[in-house]
Amino acid sequence: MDSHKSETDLLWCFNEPRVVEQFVATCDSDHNEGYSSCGFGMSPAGRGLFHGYLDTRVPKDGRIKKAGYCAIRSQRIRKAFKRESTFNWTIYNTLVLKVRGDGRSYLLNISCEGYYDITWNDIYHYVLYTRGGPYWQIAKIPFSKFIIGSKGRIQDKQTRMRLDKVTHFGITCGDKINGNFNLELEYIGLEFDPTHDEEFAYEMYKTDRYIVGV
Amino acid sequence: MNVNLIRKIVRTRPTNIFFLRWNSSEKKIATYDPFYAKPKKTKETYLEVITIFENQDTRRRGHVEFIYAALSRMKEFGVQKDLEVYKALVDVLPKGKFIPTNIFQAEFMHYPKQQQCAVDLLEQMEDNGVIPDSELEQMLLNIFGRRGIPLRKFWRMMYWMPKFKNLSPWHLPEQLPGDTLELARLAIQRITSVDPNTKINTWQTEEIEASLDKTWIISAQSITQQILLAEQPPTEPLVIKGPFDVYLRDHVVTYFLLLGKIRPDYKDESDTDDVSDMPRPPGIPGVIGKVTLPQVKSTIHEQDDGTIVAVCATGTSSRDSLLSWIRLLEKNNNPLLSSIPVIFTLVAPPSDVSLYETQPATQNDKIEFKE
Repeated sequence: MDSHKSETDLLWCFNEPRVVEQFVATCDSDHNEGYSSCGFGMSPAGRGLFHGYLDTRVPKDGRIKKAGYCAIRSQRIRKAFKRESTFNWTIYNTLVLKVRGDGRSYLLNISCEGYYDITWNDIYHYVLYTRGGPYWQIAKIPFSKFIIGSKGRIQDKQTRMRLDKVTHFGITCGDKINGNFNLELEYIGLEFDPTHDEEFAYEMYKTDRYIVGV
Repeated sequence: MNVNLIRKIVRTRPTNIFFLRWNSSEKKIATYDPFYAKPKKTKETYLEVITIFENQDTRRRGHVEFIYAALSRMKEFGVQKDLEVYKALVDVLPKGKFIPTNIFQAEFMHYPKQQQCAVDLLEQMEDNGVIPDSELEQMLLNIFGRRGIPLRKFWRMMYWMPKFKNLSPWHLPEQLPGDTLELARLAIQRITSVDPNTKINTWQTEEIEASLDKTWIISAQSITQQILLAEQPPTEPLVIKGPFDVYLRDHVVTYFLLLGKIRPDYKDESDTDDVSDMPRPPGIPGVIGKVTLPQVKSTIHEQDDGTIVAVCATGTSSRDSLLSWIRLLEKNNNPLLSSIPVIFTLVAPPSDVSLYETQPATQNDKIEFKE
């Protein structure tokens, strides 16, 4: 495998329904945990459109404290005979998205394969800021900036992503603002940016024992 | 004798005095809510309630319950983004008592309810985007000691929150303007930040005599868009599309687009290796030679669903105000608009005073600014 400098290799190009169907849209109302609704379909311009209504009202069941999320996630990549497989993105260092948003901030999620059960909920996150308006924007996000979180909680001991074991890619809308949201996606791709030599963006301080990561 | 004694014990009487006690306590219980009693919901009254609580009992019994009650009432008083208020709430907790004095206390979560309460308070700060300061750190240190869970939460917050505070490439002021006109101007500025040549004008519909809605219009158009509009074929109609929403944090601004036709794709069938007949280069529009643009999608305004020739937000979002917008655009260096037809394709017809006066308001009626 070889990646050319500053050339985007497309993972998903949302120009036909077949590609859009590779993603699954979920929201809190699917699990009786809220009142949001969402969908992922084709936009009038012929691209992928992640749309819905975000509602932060909390159902009064005495169990749920917070509500309000909508998300899309790619289906698990598989080899022949439905064996599970992983993406290998080691030759790239940047995620590229061409999107047209509505001014909201979205969350990008990348899940990696973990062996132990405590790592199954580990997801690497980063924010996607959208400008809003009719113009497309290209967001390039280096993988070094992604933050590890478990079940949505940022972890103390941060590590760089394992790019050879990527299982899922997803986008979440959960910015605590009630209302409609629209995120149009043209493509999601990968790039090798030779000018970006950052290994990991977050400095880790040395602290007293039993303060961090316990 | 013995049998009698056992009988006395076993025999249960429904009219027991204990049951009577239960019955008598069936009166209505009304909890006194100091926050509810306040007629004015401001920061001053909120802080007043906290000081009343602090002074009514030297032992400050029920302070955890009080803090939880206070946290849930913050939105009502509009103080959920105020660091000073959070500090006042932390100050309710007694100093020194919760600091563990040996390793067992430190390990097994000394005063768990109080610590969880402080963590929940900090989490509410985090959810509202309030970054704590070193004074709060000192207060927490004095209350829980440096082994306390709230301190860990505090340090995590101080590590992550400043990293994301100013990360957005489209800067917004800390306090968004309350005026809808200023808010719309910010939104249009943000949308059109793709083209630094964009000029943003604020017009009043009073300038057009035939206008019914007297309101403001914020219109954005760059020089490139003016040329693109001038290049439109006069037989093909322009289209007004909208309303679309753009979010500025939690405020929504509705905007409209004036879309033109996309120029046909340039098909070059000439042989590039053929040097027998070299044509003159077409020149830079507006600078050298012709004022027309080259036949390629070279500008940012040519998106795949049409050429965006202008963007606007109006005070009422009504059809009449959009009509005034077209007339005002025509007045301001777009003479082609007088001859070219314009189609209104509004997805959900916004409240139009002139046409739908007698109809009751429906759900489709869009309001310009939502809270």
